Amino acid sequence: MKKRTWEPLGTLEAAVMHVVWTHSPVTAREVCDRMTGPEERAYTTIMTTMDRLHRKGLLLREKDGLAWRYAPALTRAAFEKALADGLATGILQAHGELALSAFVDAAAELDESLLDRLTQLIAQRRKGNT
Amino acid sequence: MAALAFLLECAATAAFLGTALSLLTWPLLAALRGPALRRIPALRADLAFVLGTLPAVGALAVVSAAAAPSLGAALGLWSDHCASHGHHLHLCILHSAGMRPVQASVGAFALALFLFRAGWLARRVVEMRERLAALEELGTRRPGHFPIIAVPGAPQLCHAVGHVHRRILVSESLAEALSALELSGALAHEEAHLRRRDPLAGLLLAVAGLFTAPFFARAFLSAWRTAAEEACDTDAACAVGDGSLVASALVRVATLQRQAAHTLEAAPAFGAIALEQRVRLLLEGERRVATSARALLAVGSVGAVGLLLALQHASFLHHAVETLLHQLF
Repeated sequence: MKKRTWEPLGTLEAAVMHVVWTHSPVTAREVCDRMTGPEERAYTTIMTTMDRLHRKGLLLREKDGLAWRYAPALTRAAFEKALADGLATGILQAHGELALSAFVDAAAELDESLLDRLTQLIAQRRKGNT
Repeated sequence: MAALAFLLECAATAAFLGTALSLLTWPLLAALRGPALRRIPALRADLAFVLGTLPAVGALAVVSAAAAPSLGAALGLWSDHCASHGHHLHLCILHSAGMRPVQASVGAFALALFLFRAGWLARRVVEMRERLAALEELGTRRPGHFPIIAVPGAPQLCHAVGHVHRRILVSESLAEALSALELSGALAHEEAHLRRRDPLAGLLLAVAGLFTAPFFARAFLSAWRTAAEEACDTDAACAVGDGSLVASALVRVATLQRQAAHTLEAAPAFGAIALEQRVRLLLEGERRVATSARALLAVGSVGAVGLLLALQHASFLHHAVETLLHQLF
């Protein structure tokens, strides 16, 4: 099955996810109360953002009385790993030659037997040198 | 109307010159594969870069010089020269002698194609910069000769990046999977890319490729990349003192990337540099020579000298281009 890819979070989305990751499960009201100073936003803005994160698949939710209680769909580490994988794949596939100089290119075009053969060749050469 | 005709004439001239110069320089790529240059991959990369940028530099220099008298007259710097040659086409932003349909069509096609390709390239550069910035935000910086940014995720990355701010991007999982010696070999290879300013050279070649047909642009880029990779392998082998160590790192990274590509259902899709050839060359490393890259300096110097010479003979080139356009269309 194809792995899900994620896009980088916006500033507000990242701030909301930070609260959810550290205080889950939380309601939109609780997130709003914890976001103070420059991160402070209207309750409706937080609610809309959390609804969008839920639709993106980053938040799970269940009814708690009249409100929704949200939990992260994946841990921060798992999200960052998946995000990094998506970004790296995108860069390599679509933009590689523009800015990157790779140590090894086009790995998928290599079959396993060639890699085995090259490993043996290196081992032989090293044995010959010792 | 005169300005549009002037623009289309310049576009047609640049396209014609870019293609003609590519046709002349493209066969020289075969000479780079000769046995003498095989031993000096850095020089081969430099020559491939010079050949790849020559059509663009030549076309720009000639078009700039040919357009200079007319632009100078428009700005009031030079006297209007158009009265002196009424017998053929005018390359003039002030007075149009009336464009022929074929010339207008060729110019319009060349201009539209150039703008489309330039826009596509610019969009890709901007997108890539945004993605790189987002990826680097997830990473941690490690000390090194150039900054090393270790990013989370599958072992896909061991790359030199940065047109100006040069740095190395490496997947944490890839760094952990390599032995300390293999990792030093891989990083030495990337440092060689950054010392050579290969990311910038790659972008410049892509820009130069806008002045020629995609087939030629790809051929020049491929020849340069292959030679640049081999040059960096040689540098890395010199840096760590053992070509087989770099070869071993190459095979190990290729294996890890292959596994990651299968997991992610995606793969690095740019440039197929023959791994087997690189490994074999590394194992025979004592026969190769490591030299520093001079491509950017060489092309910069040649371009500046070429432009100065062209501007010095602007009047001659202006009339030569007019005659050429007159004969062609």
